[in-house]
Amino acid sequence: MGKILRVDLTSKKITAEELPEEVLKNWIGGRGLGVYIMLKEVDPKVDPLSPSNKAIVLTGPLTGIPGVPSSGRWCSVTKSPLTGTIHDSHSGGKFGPELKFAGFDAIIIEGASEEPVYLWIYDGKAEIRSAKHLWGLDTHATTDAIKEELAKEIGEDEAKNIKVACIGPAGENLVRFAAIINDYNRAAGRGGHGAVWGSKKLKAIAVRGHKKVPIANESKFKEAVRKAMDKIKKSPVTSEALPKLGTAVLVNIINQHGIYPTRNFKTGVFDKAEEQSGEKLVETILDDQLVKREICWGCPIGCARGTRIKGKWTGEGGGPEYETIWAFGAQTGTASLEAISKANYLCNELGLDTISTGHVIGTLMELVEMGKIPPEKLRGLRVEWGNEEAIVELTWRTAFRSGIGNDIAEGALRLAQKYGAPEVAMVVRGQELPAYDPRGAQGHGLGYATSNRGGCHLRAYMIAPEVLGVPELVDRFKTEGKPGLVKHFQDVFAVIDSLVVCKFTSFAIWSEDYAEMLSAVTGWDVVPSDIEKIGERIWNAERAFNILAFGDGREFDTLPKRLLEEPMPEGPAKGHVVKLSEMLDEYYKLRGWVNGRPTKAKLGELGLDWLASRLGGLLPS
Amino acid sequence: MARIKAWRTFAQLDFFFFLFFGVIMRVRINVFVTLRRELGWKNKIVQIDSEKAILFEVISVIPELANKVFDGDKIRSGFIVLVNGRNVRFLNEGRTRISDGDEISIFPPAGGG
Repeated sequence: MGKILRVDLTSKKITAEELPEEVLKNWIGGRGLGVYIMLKEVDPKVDPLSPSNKAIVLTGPLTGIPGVPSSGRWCSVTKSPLTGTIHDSHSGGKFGPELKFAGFDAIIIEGASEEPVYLWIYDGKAEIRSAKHLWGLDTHATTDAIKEELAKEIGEDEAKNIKVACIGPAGENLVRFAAIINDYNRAAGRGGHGAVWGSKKLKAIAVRGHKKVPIANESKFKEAVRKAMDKIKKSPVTSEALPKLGTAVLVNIINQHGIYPTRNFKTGVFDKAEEQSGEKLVETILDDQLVKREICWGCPIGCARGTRIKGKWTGEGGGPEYETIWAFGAQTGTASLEAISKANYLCNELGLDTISTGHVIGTLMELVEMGKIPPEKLRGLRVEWGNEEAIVELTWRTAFRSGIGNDIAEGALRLAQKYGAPEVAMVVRGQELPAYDPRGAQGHGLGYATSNRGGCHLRAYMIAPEVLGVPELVDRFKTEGKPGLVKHFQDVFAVIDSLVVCKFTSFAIWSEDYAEMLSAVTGWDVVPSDIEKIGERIWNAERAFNILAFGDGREFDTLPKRLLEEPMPEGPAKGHVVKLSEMLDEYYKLRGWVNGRPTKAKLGELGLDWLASRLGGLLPS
Repeated sequence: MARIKAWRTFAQLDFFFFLFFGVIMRVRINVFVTLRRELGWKNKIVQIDSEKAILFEVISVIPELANKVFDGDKIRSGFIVLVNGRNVRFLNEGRTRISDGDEISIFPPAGGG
């Protein structure tokens, strides 16, 4: 554990390093370790698209270990060109375990190349190769071309098992929400990590390896994994709903609760939700063969979707997931599952985050409705709620920064600011909000507002307790008790992201299970309270990075005015707004913060004195 | 004129219906996720010859649904039962009062993200 590959794209120098065990004990891996490295090595004020920013690719201590449920993921950490915050983005598939089999836990990419390059890592060896011939290709063509070219060197059978993470035209064109795509259809989607790769002229990373990940205590490990797997098999969510209907199961659930954001969060009820539901998807476009191809390495849940569409829109590929269906669907007022899927395939192939892409198209539709966009900018395209032609065409235009796509590529906030209506940007810290209207889920609203990486549903997934009743149902319209729940979820989720295990396991297992598996694999003695403490450390370190970067604090812990001041107009959440002010002070108190910033004492308690002295006068007195 | 006549006929019919059968209540029940395949339908209108009823009585009109949702008179763990979008665990669970025109939505345990 702790083997790092450092790749300087400016000097083309590659070195291997080992991290001290103490660092790993404090930060684990994945998101936590990435945040630590960024704080130690990168000036938080750095321009995210400059050579001084770093792009870090990480796995976790449980990645690639057979038996650990849903440990086939990987994570990217960088400073985001969309939000200017510290940012981690995660992806499934098979790339993460393969990197581990190739002998590395993480890759730190620094500097920038003048010419396009890709990185090839094979059984402990790494080399930088030219990607001039790959520049301009989409993610599928890039992946195939790399496998074909390496097959000549390592043989076809071996090359078949190469895993590739790469960027498409969107990353090359520095779209602020460009994704990194691995295994054809899996995305480290949010926050524009693909643009950071693009700015470094890094087209791809290809990996292949044969190493086995060591386990410190085999008998303890078997017992911990058996317990975790039992719970996953017993939970109806992880054994029934997710495998059968995928994440799209949420479309009807969320719409029936009146919090399915529709037409840029104007309302929470979409009258055509049934047409794009998980149930409908299974009946119409799901393809069992394609599903098998998409399922992540070592996953007993297997929620992935593979679909094929015929008719007006044709194609096949991974997805669509719940968030994608919402972003291209209700957010733009579009019903057609086929058009949504087509836009999804294009995002995978061109390298775009589906959430931000669909979301910003919805923002543009509202700006057009308001008469803010000069008609000549749209080149005759009808950019109107529910026009499926528009969502498909605007997707490719975004990747190529073509026409109005050049404005969409800047994200909802910059788009709305440019055309004089910043209030329609439904963002937190510049990141577009996802598929839940928090006016009908108060805790979820607090989760959005306080998210260090900007608008995100997965920092504190309050939908679990507030809507789904996991682990226990709480009243979604009440604010009492929510700050404590949000903090607890934020801290534990920070650790799940650092173990680099799928968050869907958390529908069945929690701190004690993660602690047991981590202890068995590493030989450390980790207890559940350690998990929460490490999570809190990561959360505070992220906030510290943001304070140093742009003065983060109370003024950023907020939501768009629409959610705070305009009552939900209809449906089960009618009349509600997010009562953020009722929750924020208690949240700060529980965190040991003043006005959105940690105190010196809190940082000291978490072993972050070195950060406290760096922050100096920026901390509350 | 035709429209008014039609309305009168309808109103008279309803009046006679009331005389013979008392008040009738119509409630829409929607089911989701795996329940659709298991039951073979997506939604049903249930009629009850009463002006008031509780959730348990309304669901019990469809015994195969009641068996799935209730364990005795308790809602099974993880099931989401909404009356007009409000989770009945914050109303009165199985004893939640149901009125004419209400909409009941039922989900077996589910999650995503």
